[in-house]
Amino acid sequence: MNSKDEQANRLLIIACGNPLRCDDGVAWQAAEEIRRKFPSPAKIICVHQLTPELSEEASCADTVIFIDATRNGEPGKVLCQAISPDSTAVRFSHHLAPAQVLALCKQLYGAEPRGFLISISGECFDHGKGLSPAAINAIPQTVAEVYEVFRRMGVEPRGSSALSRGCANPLSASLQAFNSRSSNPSVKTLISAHNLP
Amino acid sequence: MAERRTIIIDPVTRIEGHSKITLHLNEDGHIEDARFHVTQFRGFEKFCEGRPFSEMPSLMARICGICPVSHLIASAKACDALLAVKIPPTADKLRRIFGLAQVVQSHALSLFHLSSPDLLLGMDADPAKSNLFGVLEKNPGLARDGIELRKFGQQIIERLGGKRIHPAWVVPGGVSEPLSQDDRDAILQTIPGALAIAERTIEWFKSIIEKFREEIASFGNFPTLFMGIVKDDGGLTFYDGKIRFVDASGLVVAKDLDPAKYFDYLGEKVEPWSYLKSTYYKPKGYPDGIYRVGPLARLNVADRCGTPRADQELAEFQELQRTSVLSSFHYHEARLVEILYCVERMEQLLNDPEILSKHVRAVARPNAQEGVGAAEAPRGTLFHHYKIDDQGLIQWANLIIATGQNNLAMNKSVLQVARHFVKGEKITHGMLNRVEAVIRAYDPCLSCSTHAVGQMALEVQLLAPDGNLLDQVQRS
Repeated sequence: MNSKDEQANRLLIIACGNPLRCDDGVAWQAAEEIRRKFPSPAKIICVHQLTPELSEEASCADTVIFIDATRNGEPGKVLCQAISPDSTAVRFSHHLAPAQVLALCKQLYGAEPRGFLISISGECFDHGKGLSPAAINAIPQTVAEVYEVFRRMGVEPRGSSALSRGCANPLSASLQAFNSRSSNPSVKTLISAHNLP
Repeated sequence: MAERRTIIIDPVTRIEGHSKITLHLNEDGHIEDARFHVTQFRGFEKFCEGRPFSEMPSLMARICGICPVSHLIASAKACDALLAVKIPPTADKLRRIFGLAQVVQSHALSLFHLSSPDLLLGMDADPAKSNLFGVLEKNPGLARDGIELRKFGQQIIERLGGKRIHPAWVVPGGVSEPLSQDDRDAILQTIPGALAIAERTIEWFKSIIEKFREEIASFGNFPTLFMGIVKDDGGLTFYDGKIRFVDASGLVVAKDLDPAKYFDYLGEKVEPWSYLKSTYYKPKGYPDGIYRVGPLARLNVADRCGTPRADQELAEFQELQRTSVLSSFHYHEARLVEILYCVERMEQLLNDPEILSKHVRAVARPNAQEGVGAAEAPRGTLFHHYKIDDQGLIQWANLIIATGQNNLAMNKSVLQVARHFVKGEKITHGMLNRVEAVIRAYDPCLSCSTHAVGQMALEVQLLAPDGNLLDQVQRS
């Protein structure tokens, strides 16, 4: 295994949601953007829900970043918070919260990767494949939050120069074009949402 | 006068989908009636109308996140019938492997993640502990095995279909891509580990089953018919064959029935209190035509599995009772025997010299305007039936799902369990958990089964605080 692979194994991004329910799929879009923006040193998995099997994947990582949509908060808001293993309040055994995946990881495999949850407040959770402008506008901030975790891990992802130079919008051209047609003020307020240790 | 009371369990936990159970007590506090209500609603049969038939496998796979592969296969088989083609032999085998992998991961989910808390910790365990973490604490090896087995099945699905959930690899006429040698070898490498887990879990299950004598006696332990698809030689199959019914005594009631003619022998009934239709065996009428499908039924109708280890376990399973094995508690053990069969059978198919052939799809235009596809899904026999117009657009669709076929039996089981365990003035968690646990034994997939639209009866009742009915509106 070369050093790039070793590095890739240490960072795991789990994007969770249903891309057929509009903004519920924003994490998948963000994951795609992360993959495109910096051919990433992280392993990226897109899932509909968090299942126990993910604990095995997580056990191979030093850091796990969960990205998920939420109905809470102002649409477009992005919140990154550190999470710890927590095995309480489990009702469904095949549908877990991020902290419960980490708890399984710890209890089953003895691994304690650092965990982060990036929540993206959605606006529309109806049937459909499109994202609301608020969710679209939240993607650059989500990418920036992931990059910040990378940076704190001491990893400089390839293709991240735009971010490290302070580029305001690291989105791909297509999303930039989409963004230029929408104006969501909430994006500007999110820089202070970091909650990294 | 004593008050007539109702106990409601809502939602039923650790199952696929949303439902509730109502238990009606008489004036003496004894169970008078019990019902399993499915409270979620889909609409797949209706909203696929007007779509090109070639889209159906991918559309139908969206019915379920647990068993999309079963819907893919049944749908693709219905489309094969519309094309009137015989798919290439390698495509046939690859579809079988795909389906078997899905049975393994689905059965593992049911047994390890949903039911193992009841089996390992007991029916009276603290509800806060009755979950995967409770299992992990008591028997970490079992929890790890469950995760590994699920992963085994999912990885095969991912290798073949390109992704774990909603793969679109199965297409009308075959499959879209052949199997590569690298993928074949990689899957074969994981077979021994999966076999070891299956063997270990069967032994573990046999070691605990004695603790559940009372549950075995009362968990859906009554005579019904059993239905499943069998091969021409009477062997277990999940992909293709003829329908067979056996009765409670083990006698074959009907055999060699054509799955494409299901409407000749299966009827569907809608009850006003559930979105889940009840299917019955037409010659016996409703509700006497009650039958069960799924692992228990398949092992009751099959003469053999056709793989060495599973055949040994089947022989032992069939010794549980001289007649058909009646208790729905035994669905759990039947699932384990089937996991063993699936892993063994996948190994056989992967070692078939034809399996790497590049010829995996027959191409044709529609040659028929009506097609039926049937297969054994993890929870039982699955039928997809489509009618198309001259442009190949879907005009009508009907799906008969395993959980609907078990609906009558599930209701009867809830009543039996409730009458046996729910007694007296103090209702305990253990009592109510058993009522839920009998539903879990069937592993119902409500997302799959609540698909009808346009014919669903709806009943709304307005009740006064004292329980008196003030008003009622009924639409059918």
